[in-house]
Amino acid sequence: MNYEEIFSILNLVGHRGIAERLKYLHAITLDRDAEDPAMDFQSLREMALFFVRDDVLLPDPEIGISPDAFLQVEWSSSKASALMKFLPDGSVRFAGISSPLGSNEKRQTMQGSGSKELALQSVIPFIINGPEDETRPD
Amino acid sequence: MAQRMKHDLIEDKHHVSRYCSPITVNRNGRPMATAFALRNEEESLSVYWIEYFKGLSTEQAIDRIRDAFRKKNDQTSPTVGLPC
Repeated sequence: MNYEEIFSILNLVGHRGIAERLKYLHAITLDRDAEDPAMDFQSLREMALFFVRDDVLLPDPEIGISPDAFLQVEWSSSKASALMKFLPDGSVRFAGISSPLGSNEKRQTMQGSGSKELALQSVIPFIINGPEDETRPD
Repeated sequence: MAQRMKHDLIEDKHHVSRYCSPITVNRNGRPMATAFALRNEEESLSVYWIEYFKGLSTEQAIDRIRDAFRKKNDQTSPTVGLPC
């Protein structure tokens, strides 16, 4: 399996936005003159395995590449933000934060690392609390 | 270009900008959390202190930073449009 095959699978299962973003990121990091790290294939595979699961019904996230070449997905809204970073060994680093500065509500934060299941359960409250989420489909 | 002033304290009311490569900017052009992760060569978060450019507006200061990036590397296309 290669990068393009993973992009195709994501597209086929309905994650067109994710597939297109990954294609873009992969293309710009293929430029050997670029300072950016190439996308780690195993990290990509682990991320794809997460999003093709039937029980993962999340809005399409924003996707970036961390300086250590691993894929990181983020959701943000006016009320909360969450992120998941997919490591090559299949584990996930995750974090969430609620209530922006200036809000009267007490800020809640969360971070950890572990299995995809643990990460999913941990970040969901920080995603569903964002009704004005700019990453959600129109 | 501002000279390096490592470990200088910057007042909370001041502003900084940071180079955000295309892989750390979302589809709307906003920096993602990855933009603030330490790059491999960094010991601490590298930023440009906007108020160092006395007498310039924020926009003018960012233009100066962009110009410096372009001179440093013509292939570099920094997306430092917003101090963050």
